[in-house]
Amino acid sequence: MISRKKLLMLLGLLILAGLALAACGTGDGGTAEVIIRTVEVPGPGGETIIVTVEVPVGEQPPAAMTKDDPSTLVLTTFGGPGSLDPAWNYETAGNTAIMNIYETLIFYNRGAASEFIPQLATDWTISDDGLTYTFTMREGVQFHNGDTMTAEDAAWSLQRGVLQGGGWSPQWLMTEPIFGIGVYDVAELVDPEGALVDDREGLVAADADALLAACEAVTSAFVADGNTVTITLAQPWGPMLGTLAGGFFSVVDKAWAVEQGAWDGDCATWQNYYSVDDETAPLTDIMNGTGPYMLDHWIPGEEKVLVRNENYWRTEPGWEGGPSGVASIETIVVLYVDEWGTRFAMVQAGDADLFDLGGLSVVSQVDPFVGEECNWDASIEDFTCELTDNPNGPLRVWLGAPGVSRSDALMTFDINVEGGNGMVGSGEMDGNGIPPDFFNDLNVRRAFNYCFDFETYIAEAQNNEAVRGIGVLIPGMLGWDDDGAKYDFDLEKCQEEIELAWGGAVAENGFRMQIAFNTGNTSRQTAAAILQSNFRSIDPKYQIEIVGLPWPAFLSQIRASRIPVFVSGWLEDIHDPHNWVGPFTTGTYAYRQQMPEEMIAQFSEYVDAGVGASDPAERHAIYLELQQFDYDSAPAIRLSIRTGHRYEQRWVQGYYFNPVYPGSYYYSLSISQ
Amino acid sequence: MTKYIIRRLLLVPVLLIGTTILTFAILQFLTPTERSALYMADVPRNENAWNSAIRKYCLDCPITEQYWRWLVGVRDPVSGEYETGLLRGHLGYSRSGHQYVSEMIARRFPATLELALWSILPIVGGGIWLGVKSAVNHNNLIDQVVRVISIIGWSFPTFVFGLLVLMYFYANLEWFPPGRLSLWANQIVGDPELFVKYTKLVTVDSLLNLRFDIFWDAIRHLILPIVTLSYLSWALLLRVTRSSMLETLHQDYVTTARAKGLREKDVINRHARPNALLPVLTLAGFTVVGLLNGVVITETIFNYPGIGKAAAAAALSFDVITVLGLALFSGFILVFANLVVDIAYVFVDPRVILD
Repeated sequence: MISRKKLLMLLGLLILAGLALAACGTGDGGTAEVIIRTVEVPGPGGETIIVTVEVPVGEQPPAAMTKDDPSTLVLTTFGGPGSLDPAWNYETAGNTAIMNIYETLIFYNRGAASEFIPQLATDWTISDDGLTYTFTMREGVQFHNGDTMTAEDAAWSLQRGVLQGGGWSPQWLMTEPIFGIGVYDVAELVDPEGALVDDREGLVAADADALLAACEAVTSAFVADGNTVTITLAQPWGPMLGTLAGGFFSVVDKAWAVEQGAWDGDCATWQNYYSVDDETAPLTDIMNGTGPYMLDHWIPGEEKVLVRNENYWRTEPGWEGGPSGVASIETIVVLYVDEWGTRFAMVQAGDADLFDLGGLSVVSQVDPFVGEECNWDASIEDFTCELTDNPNGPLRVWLGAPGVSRSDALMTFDINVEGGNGMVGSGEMDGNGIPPDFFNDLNVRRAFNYCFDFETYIAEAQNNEAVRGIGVLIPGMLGWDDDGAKYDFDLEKCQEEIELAWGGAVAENGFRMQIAFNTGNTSRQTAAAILQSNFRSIDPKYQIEIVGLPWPAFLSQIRASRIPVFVSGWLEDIHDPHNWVGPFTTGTYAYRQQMPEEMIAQFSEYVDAGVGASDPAERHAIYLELQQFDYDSAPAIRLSIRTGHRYEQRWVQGYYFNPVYPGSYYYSLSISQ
Repeated sequence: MTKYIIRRLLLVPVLLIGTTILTFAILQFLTPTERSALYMADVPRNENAWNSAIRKYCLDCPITEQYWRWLVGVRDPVSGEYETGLLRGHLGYSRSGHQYVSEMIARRFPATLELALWSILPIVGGGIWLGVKSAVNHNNLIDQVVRVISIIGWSFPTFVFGLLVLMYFYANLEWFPPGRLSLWANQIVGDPELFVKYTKLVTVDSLLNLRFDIFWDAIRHLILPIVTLSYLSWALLLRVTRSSMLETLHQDYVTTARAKGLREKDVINRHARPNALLPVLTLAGFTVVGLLNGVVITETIFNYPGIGKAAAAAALSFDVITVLGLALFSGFILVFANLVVDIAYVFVDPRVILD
């Protein structure tokens, strides 16, 4: 007979289990019979579309997806901006606010990241030599505080950004075109060795003439003359328009900013405003742009609220069918909700209109709520939408849009073993380790590429939502070729390459080494596991150990070039090949990988030629050559480029995809009531 | 007792400085590059970024210099004035929280305090009440039920329990939402012309502003965190109260009280319970300190903007300045709460003399 104590424990457990089931259950029941209905539903662009759906007998047709209060859109996300200063902020959360509140001279033509339309400039010309860009400014545009926007504001904004500089600000995107390739910060004009980068104290104490010359170099590069702004470059720069369309180079109200404590345009004092901190920068938490939204308030870690600019200047759409007039949605509330479960609960309760996933591992929780699925159609470069088997599902999902972030497994050519490095085992080719220059052997690098199962990686690590990487570029970009040379998974070829490597020593002795990823990044962990498994399947002597490191330690080890193979990624700043080829072949990753100088030199030739060419066909040809050289030299395993995955409540209308947008462009959105 | 209190208060600065030195020393085990990760969301685009972050924030300076900068501040190269420094009243800028640490504490502590104040009674009162009930019904049905339920609560991960109640009572029933206030209430509370923040405790201020709708909204947001904290905290208080109470109930003076013919209710409430509460008081004191320092998981699940969430974010990103500031604040609360508990002993048990 069961004891009373056990009975009570059982009762308690049953209560809790009931609670859990009640919380998790959807209450769906099975229905065998269906009828076909024709229904009208709102389409992604706000239009009405007619679709046929199978509806279980006895159920109502798909409900109209509306929201009681269409004036407010709520986005739940995590993290948050570091700064709202467009010239300083360098992450997507801040840039989303900047894109909606500030404006640039030119903007993207709807979803086309490489086609541009006038925004604060009404038109522009480019000189025949590609060195001078002249913009005619729009008249009658007001900042949110009522000040009139002028060409002086535009020129000053660009000058201020570059002079404010900063080693980890986005201004290197502008210093390269105006001062020359490889100049990443204005302080390098005062000290070319870079010793003054981010050293305001040192800069203040620097030679006055050098300081003045640096400032004048900047002010002469961005000149306001009447109603025009002229930008003069050091060399032709293919990505220049793409650079100017980015929010980093937004137009700020000079008079207002100076009142707030920003640089006043005097070349005698610019060094005092150089390399600010988030805490001391005057525009960190205040905004005054010309955009369709104004900043109401930002409480870090809690919320950011944008309100509609009732005096927005745009009266004609920027593109056919585009938004014009004041924004449709009055208030945008961005709530910072770190925990996914909480964000998901808010979605289910209908309190979140847009939400960030935080990772594809939770997709299976959300998909049962999807009533409408929109898939990217490359032939029309847009989405096509249809109802799902659950037509009353409250969510819409957008799938397959070409992504702008990639992952790669990067090999270190000269591994740092100073002070000992357990990641290379014994450090010798004795079967219990690898020598520091293990990856200097091309056959080793090719073997690692052949041993990587791309299909499995994309299926398991990327939820089948990624395309195979080819070279350092991304699909659709100049230099991209679907049929470009790539290493396919082939264990026999892997073994052949291993046998050739190091004169046969690798095959004879085997090897032992570690691959590192940052803890919590499961897709990077999966990539490492695939290599580990495949090498082991060829020969147990080929030993790869996988090490998860906390982010700071991972970063530190990468910086010190101590990791034999590390899986890392990149998210583009501007939609241009230069933003990809530079970092991967001559910039930060090339340094971290300790690439041989001759390899960097060869890459540099392509990089410099590509960015300096203005003819797209010429650039395409140059980047094709670079891609081929990347294949030939195999400095990394080019893993994949993620495709998009976005959810929203179905009452949200007006979304379109632009790969370079840092987040939602709220101006184009509306809510069905 | 006055001398005791003064002596304890004089020790406060020493304890707090000691706390910061210890915290600072522990964080120095990380290399400068590891600590520079705080300033980088990913592998930096610009090769200079690594060096400049380390140089700018003096991450490779001697530990004494780094501590001195935090304590005394850094002189601005242009104005020549000190901008920061604990001794000048600045706790520094929180890179993980994107605001000054003092602002962070000023904004978040009222939320934490409000949650703690509303939780103290159900947690401590409920725990003691259940413990007493359990003890006086030793080994009978009530005792068994209470113990089983509390043990389940004790072993239930906060994360799981919190998410379950959130899914059921918010996602399904839409009764108790996460956060501190609804959007409409937040708009009113954020408008100084519509709502005066006397105490920064929304429930109190809403009553003072005669905004009962906002009061009810705030309560709706507090219920689930309170339920979660209470249920998961009862087990410990219950067990300590129960065992202490059982021990007391077997004391001679209790037997004497019964022999004298006192009603059982009086024996328990007037003779046994007050004496059984001394160890409970210590535990309750620590519970309150824990609540005032923020309850990380509960605040995270219910998106409650308290200090615990900020502390966790700072620790995870090795944000030295924020960790130091919050450690200082926590230390202050701990010392102060201990003092209050010591004084409370005197009132609970007059035999205790503070010297």
